[in-house]
Amino acid sequence: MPTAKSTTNSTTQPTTVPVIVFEDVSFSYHSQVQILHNLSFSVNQGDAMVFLGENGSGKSTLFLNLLHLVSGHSGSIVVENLEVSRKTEKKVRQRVGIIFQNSNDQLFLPTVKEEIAFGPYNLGFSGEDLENRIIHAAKSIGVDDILDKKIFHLSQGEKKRVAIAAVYAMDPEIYLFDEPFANLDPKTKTDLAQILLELHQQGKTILLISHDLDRLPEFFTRAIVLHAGAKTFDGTLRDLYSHSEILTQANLQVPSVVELYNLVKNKLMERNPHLIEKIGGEIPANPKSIPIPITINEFSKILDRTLDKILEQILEKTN
Amino acid sequence: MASLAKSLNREFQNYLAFEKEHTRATLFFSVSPLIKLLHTVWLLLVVNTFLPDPRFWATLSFGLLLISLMVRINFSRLMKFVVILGILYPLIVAIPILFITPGNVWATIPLGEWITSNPNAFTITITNEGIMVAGIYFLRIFTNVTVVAFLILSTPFTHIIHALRQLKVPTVFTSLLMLTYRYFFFFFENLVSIIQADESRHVRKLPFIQRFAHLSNLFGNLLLRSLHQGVNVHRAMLARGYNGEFPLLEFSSNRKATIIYIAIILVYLGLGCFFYFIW
Repeated sequence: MPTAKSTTNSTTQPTTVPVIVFEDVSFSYHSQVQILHNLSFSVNQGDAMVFLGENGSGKSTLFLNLLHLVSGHSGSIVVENLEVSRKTEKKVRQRVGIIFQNSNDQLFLPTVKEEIAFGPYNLGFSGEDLENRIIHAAKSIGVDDILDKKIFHLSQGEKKRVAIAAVYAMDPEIYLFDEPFANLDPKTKTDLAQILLELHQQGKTILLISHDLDRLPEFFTRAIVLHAGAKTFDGTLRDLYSHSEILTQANLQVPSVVELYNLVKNKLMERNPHLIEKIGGEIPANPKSIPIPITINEFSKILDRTLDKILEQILEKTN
Repeated sequence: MASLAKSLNREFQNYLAFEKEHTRATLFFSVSPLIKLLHTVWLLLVVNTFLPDPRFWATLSFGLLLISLMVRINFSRLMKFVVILGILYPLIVAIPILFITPGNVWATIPLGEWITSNPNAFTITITNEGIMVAGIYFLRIFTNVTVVAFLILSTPFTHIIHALRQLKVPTVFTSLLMLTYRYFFFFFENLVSIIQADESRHVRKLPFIQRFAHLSNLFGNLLLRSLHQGVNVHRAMLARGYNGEFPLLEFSSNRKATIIYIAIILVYLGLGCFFYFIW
């Protein structure tokens, strides 16, 4: 079992081996309400991708179908060469771990230790091996100091960590996170992002549902947008941010950093478009050719370069 | 209504918080839960089958209350438990027994005369046998509740489940117990949130019939929420490979404390036999 804390900082690059393949998948509850419409996409090993869409667009149902927690989909869902069905569901669930949006729904045993033990126990671990798994998972996710605590004594952040540790103890290759940042304070969100990063560094495939684009860790590069159960976008986040109509349709807002970039660009253009064109500053001069910054770091670098060029121009003029 | 639910919830949470925080400090905490459970079952058998003697029940109950003080079990918590389940509840049943058991009349209450001023109106009587039967009934429940409360307040719930599993109690039964235990919290949290949401939007007092219908809606909502949560919990269990069993975690009990506990049981058992059969 890999260790989350002991891994190096180098991020494992995604491979081109598809671990999840959806082909023309549709799903409806009781053959009445169509939730998913002809979805097709694939996810490679080590990918970190986010599912976006308005409430009720079918994101969570997609996850439930992936684990065969609801049955009756049409089309084909393949996880690590296993066609998801009643026959293969147990094997699929060994490979795919899900962290539900509401931790209260996920934690059903009295204490943290029992909760973490549940998964590995079902995988056949017992005695010392089981104990080792529990301790290892608890230490890796940072819940080793609350092992004996009752679940109902935990804060929301602790519950979320325990839910992750409970899945981590099963050592799945694929992690599904259903709105992991919901109802958490900023510090806990940062801690959670760190856990996601560590899982990514271990080469785990991470699929995440979120509405909070500001909180997405930088290594999430790919996005799929769902609207009324159908795929409306599949590409990089950077591309997505330049498609405002898709964001609007999905009830999403561009991240603050993109808004800030647009704001600065517009302000500079208002002040003196000719000067800006002349100095060739990155922000306003040629926005089409320059990728939109999607992180604060990227924005900061662009701003630095632009300000340097403006200052150079001013100095040249005064000389 | 909301304050009642809130105080119920608080009491419930306090009790469960106590279970962890205070039992650690008691001498009984590290005693093998299996021994404690077997001892409790044995005591219940003695109380209800082998030794149905009210004098023994009274001695046992007060003995346990005394011991709970000595081993630092939270006495006020124990008393709350005993008063609610061991006194108030059996009283509800015991009081009618006073009046319905036939026998020698101990007292007559002219209830009808008090209400209607008619001397021929109905009267109720309390019989000597009624007092005896109600007293025995009351004392028996009081003793049973004290015995069970003593175990519960000195042993965390999970240790009891562990002991049940060691006794080869069917998994389906222990699983149900564990899920029910967890469900209590869902239930109380849901109940409180529903009632608070309801009260926060109350601007006028509803007529009785409407209030009744409204209350039915609230509890219907509570049921639906529970059902929904049940489905989600089941999915979470399946997602982690649930195959009908829950993990059995080892609890390292203190051998020395367990031996002392068994020794104490044997001593009082010996004393009991001596007084009962020889004295």
